[in-house]
Amino acid sequence: MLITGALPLAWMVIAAIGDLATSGAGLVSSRTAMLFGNTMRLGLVVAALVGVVGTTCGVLATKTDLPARRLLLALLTFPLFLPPYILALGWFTVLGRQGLVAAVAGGTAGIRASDTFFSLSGTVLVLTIAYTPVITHLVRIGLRSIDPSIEESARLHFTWPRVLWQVDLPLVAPAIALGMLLTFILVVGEFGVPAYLRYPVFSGAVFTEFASFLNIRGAVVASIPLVLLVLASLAVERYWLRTPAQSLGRVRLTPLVVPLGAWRLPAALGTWAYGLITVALPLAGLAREAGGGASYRAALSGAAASIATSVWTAAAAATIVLAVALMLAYLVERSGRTRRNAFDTALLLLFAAPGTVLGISLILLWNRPGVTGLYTSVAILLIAYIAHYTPVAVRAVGVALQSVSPGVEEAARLAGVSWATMVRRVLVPMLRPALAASWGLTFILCLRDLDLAMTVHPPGIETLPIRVYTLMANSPGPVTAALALLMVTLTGVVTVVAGVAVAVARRTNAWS
Amino acid sequence: MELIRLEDVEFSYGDRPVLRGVNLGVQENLVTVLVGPSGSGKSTVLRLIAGFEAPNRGCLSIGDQVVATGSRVFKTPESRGVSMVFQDLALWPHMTVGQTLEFVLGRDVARRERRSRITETLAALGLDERVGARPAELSGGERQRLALARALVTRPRIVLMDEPLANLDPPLRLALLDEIRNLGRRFALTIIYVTHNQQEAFSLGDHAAVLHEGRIEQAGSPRELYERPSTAFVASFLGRCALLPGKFHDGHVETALGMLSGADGDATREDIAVVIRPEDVCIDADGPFNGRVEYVTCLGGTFETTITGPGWRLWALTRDEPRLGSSLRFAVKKTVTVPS
Repeated sequence: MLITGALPLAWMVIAAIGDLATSGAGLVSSRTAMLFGNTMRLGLVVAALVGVVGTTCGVLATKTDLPARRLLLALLTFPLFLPPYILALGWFTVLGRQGLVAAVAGGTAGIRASDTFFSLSGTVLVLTIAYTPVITHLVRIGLRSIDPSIEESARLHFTWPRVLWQVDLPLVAPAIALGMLLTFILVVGEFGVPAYLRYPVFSGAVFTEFASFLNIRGAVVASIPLVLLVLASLAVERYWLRTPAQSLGRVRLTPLVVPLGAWRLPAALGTWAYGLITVALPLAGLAREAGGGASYRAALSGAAASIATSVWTAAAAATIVLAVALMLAYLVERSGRTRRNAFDTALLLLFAAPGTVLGISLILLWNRPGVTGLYTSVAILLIAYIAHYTPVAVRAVGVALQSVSPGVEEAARLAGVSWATMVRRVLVPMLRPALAASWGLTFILCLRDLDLAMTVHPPGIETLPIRVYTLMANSPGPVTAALALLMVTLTGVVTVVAGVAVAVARRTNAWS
Repeated sequence: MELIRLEDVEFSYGDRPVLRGVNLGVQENLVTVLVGPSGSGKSTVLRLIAGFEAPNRGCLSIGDQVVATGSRVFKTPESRGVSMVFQDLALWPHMTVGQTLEFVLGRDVARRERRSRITETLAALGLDERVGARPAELSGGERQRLALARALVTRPRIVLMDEPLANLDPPLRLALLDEIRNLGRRFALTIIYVTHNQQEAFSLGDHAAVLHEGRIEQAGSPRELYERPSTAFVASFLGRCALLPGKFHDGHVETALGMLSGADGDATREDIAVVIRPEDVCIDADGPFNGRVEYVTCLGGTFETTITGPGWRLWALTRDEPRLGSSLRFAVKKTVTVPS
């Protein structure tokens, strides 16, 4: 992690400080102010919307007796696995000048919808849909960890709405705030969607300096405000959102369900409509745009190599990430509090670093005589994936590791078992579901990555997201739409396979 | 007067039956202790009374109102006038002591009344100095008191207590038992107290019911249950005792120990067991029975001595520590018989 992530970022900071004297003047300009304003506006509006929509969805899908809750949750979660620019493309097929709206309501309505779409509103719409599942799931985890007797003790005095409002929501408020902050960090680092919808933000400016003007020094300096924003957000997370565990006793496993009564039907209709409109509608738009089989054949024939590259690099990166994450999670969870916080902060910084910024820092470090073999091969892509996505896997494995009593390891140590054998024979079998889930999650994150891959990919090596994104600007709509749908299908298949693998691992670990 | 009545109440979690025809009457302003082993259905009885579960069959009344019958519920938890102290306390971690009590009193109670009730309750429980503390900042005993304060501040008629002292050390548990008893009297509460600890049952209960495998095995005063158990389970659950299989014979009971006289019980039954409590065994050099000292446990001021003979084992309380393996003569003061 030191070589893949921390060192490049540190190198970049040194380079930025060195260049500040010569190129720093460019930072103080009306353009910088405009980019800063736009980036902040986008981040704050999306974080606020995601907070409201994600919390509502999380509460409805977790605490109520809505019909087919599991299916609904799967539907609401799906956008998280899709690259946001695919969602943008999907919404373009709905709100574009020749989109579904134009087909249904006429050309003028299409033009109006398109103008609104290619602006802050469209960017907010797409990114809100893309990141709402983050909060939905954080709220769900938070609600499921509340001891039902805490709710029952309030139910003796009040009806369910008041219990939800005054007991449950305050208890999950830190999770909501964390989700909003995480969304803010991800949104301000997002490059693909704002660039596609022509909404100028910092990440786009960094990429333009690098890719269009081939000015890596300029890109480094342009990254400074973005890095400062992310660091400020991380400081908020570290110092204000680090709440101690809320549980004061043992937690029963089955959460209580709130009967919606007469509200069940309207709530079900509303939530399902939201899920179908935000997920199914753009996909339907893509399917309509793609048309018949010819587009799919054309898309496949041109993208076979990209699909293969995407799948194998994602699989290789996920496997390496899993091994590294297991070791790091062990270090983080089993070390002292101070060291744990330091590790945690460093890992969070790597994940929070915008893809374009991390990519440029990697290029800055590795694009030099003697190591060009790495920079010009697929290895740089793997290094980038490992640097960016290991922290997610460390968090996932770490949470599972917290539930394993240190006594389990101590018993193995007393029996004379070596540390490596203890990890292999004791920890790995106990953590199997979490490891399977982490592998699947990392695979999907690498598979959908655009910002990082776009920045570091060497000539001649192209992943599927890069191909889709390039085609979005330069190719006929039907072929792009078909390729986007292939990407969605691939993501869907991987999600289902990963889900099945986790379920099987859980079943085989039924003793735990 | 009976305040709560359960009639033929049956309840199951999925296809696992938990209560199988429970009949129980709870007297107003008294402490009723439900005692029984884990999984006997004690907590489920509380959850039914609170309204968190509905019985599958049978009828549940509070006061003169039927609150649930069959699987139909007529009164929701918040409208039953019931408070509860949970085993894990279930305190709200985001609220201070003061906020917790303010919250349960709600806006229906006038502000001045709210203040006076909170002050009175906190003073009664010794929490008046901790109004601004959150649960995480309280000690174990203070958390327990906060749970009690939350249950009492609304002036409920009925307080349900689900093993609230289970996780405390013995001195604190004894102190809080005294407090619960005093608070019950002071606020004229009807308390249903669930425990598997017989010491708590005896020290707190005006009335007690022993639950076993979803049925009320016996109900009565704690002393009555201890001294005249109706089954071997009740006898052994409520305290150490020897259960010697025997047969009635001319007003006496024939056991492996020998003939025992003065046994209470149903003389018409063939298969019986004689219950002998340690305090009913007197070490006496002229006693009719003789056994070998197998084991001695120090109980502080006294010793519990395990005495064995051919086909029997019983326990006696002695002031002096007998020598292991020595022979001991003793008499049995009192016995009671139960169906074996």
